[in-house]
Amino acid sequence: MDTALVLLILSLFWLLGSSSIPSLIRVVGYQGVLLGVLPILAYGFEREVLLVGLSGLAVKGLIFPWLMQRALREARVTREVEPLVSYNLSLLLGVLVLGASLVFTAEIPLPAAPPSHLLVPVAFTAVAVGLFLVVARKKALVQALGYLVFENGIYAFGLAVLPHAPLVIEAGILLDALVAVLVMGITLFHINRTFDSLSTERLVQLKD
Amino acid sequence: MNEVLTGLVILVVGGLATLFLNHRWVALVTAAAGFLTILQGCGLVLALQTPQSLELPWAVPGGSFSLVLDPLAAFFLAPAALLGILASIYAVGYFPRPGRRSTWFFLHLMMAALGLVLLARNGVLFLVAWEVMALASFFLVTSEDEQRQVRQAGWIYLVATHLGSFFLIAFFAIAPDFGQSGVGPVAFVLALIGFGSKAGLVPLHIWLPEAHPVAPSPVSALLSGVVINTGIYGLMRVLSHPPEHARAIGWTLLLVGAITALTGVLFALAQRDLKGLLAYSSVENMGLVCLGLGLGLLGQPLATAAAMLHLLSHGLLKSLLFLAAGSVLHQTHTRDLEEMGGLLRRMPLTGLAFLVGAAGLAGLPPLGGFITELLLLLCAVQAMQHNLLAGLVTLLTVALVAGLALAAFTKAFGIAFLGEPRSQRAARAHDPGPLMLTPMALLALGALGLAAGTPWLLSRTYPEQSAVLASLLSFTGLVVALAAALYALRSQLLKTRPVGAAPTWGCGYLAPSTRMEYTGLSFSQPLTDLFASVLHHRVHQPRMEPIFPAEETFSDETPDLFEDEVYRPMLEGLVRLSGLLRRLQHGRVQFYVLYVLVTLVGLLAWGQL
Repeated sequence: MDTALVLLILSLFWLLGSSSIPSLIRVVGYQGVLLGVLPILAYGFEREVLLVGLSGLAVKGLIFPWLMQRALREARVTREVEPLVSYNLSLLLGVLVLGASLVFTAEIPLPAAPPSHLLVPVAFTAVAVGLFLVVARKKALVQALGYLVFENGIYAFGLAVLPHAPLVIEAGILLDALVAVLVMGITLFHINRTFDSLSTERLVQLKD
Repeated sequence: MNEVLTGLVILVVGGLATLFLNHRWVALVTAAAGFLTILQGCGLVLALQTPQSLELPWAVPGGSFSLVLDPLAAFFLAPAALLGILASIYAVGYFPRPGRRSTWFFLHLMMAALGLVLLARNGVLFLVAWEVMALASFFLVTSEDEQRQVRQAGWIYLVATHLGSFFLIAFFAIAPDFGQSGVGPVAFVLALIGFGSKAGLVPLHIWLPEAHPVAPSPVSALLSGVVINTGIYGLMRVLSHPPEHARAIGWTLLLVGAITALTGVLFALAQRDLKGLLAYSSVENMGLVCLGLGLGLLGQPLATAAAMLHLLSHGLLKSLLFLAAGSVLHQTHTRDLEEMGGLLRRMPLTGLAFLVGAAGLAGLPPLGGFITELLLLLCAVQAMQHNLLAGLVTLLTVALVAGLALAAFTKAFGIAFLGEPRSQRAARAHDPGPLMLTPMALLALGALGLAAGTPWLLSRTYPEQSAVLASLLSFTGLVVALAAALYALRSQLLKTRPVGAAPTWGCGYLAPSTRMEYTGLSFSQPLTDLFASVLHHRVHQPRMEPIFPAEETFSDETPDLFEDEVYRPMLEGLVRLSGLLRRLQHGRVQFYVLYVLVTLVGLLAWGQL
């Protein structure tokens, strides 16, 4: 359980430090697989837990990376991430965020003790890193990936309260993400066709 | 109670049915059935003078489905149902075929919601019904939305009605029992703004002369004759228990009413749009009603009675006028007075109906406007004995308003119906079919009947004034009958003799044209010039400067004072302020998300403190 969480942290750092889009997509996929396995590691082989875990694994680990790969292929953009904040600074900030989360989350009241004391801080770090990727990267595709990481964070946080939250909520979050990714895929396609680029800097032209 | 509820349900079901079976007879039959059932229920309550109530389960927080049909509600509901039937009959003849499916639906829905507004005794229920009524009338106002002016009027109406609703929500938050106990000053001001905006009290009236003229005419008739009355109903309900500071509230209503009546009648006088003139006249009459209510609170119960009577007769007469104006519009396809003229000869029955309505609202005996204005003047004289100022204000306002209203309606009738036609379409006009004429005839008869019945209505409570009225009315009735007898004698005598027709002596000028007629503008100019400080009448006059002047045009317009001087500067300021916010919108997606991130971090940090 803790191993999986540490792997999750490492994957987050990889996302911050990596410069090629295909590797980002792959890492987001690995994260999805990890998150799919996490509930089973945390709560054992129960029917509901299996359902949540396997559906998460299928959607986050397989469908999303595939959709993103396809978007990348169709957009035919350069594979450079084009950061607004340098990779080193991003990594440093990531470490700071992790530290801050460890401090912050200690005081969050939860209905029950989470299966691992690392779970909630890691979930928060994932949320923050996801948002950071959206803010600090230029390409719209990377921003979509950032959104996925953000979703992963929320999903991980949901695990902490899984026995207390109805299945419907988990399913709802997953469906939300799925729809969002589909919408982002369509939007990316249109941005690319209109501006001949996926760089969000061109979007400034849309301002009236 | 059950009858009224059944009637409302019939209306809603009938409205839904017209969406699927787009047939005007379906609409008419359901409307007639619904309104007649409502009338029956109201008649029962008015006859027995005992309120009926009903509670239904309703799972809404803070809401309860409590309905009460008391004499006050029935007093508003019964004329509404009556006018509803007549307007529906008229609409069958008026609406183009095949019309829009939605028009009938919204017409039914608006009337059903109006019924619920009058019955509801719970704030939440009232607001829901109020909002449904407002939205349904919005869709009715914009039913000819291919015209730009209609769309603009619709937006103004929508904004105005929601501003009103905003204040009403605040009012119901403070005084949730709605007239069960006396209101405080704050609640009263909120109610005055909220209900006053519906009734068209100055300065919240600006939507009314925009929205009422552009609606289809049967809808205008209902809006001006019925829907705006709900504003007055709300005020009366709020004041049905003696409020705190009754004196101050009475003075407020008196002054607001006086200003509204004067503003309304002045702008009515300056209009060249026939339905616009009628709409401003509605503003004027709501002002008179409000003034009457104010005087009533200052210790003159007869003034309240006069206000109620005025509401009733204004509803009948204004609906009649809008229906008559609708038939004129139907024939001439214009609302511009300067393109009408000579219609009395071409549409004699419509002209007669318009004449009855105009005479009634101009305060000519023996019709409703005369009676209520006379009663208000009597109250003013009585009030002067102990409250000189209030009496004086009422006396001067009512006298001035009555005089100006006479001028305004003389203008409307004279320019539209007398003289020679100013356009081809006016020359080809003729009376509409019986479907449109019957409601007008019934309304005219109803107005006459109401006037004749007023002394009887007042005889129990105010025997003295009733006797005065009865003698006055019988005298004018005698005069009218005498005139009719003389006319009949004249036509009888002329029947056997040859009657020659020759043009009026044109002072020797051989080629008079219709462009030399008095126009509406020239008719009202002496009075509009007198009140130029209020009206801001703008005239673009041709200059005859060089020796051989070039071709020039002449035009005039009278924009609403409050729209130009109050609301436009306010709105422009708001737009400028909002412009500052646009700096946040710079088009960089990253920064937008950064805003979210900063807020999130800020909230987290705040939570830690």
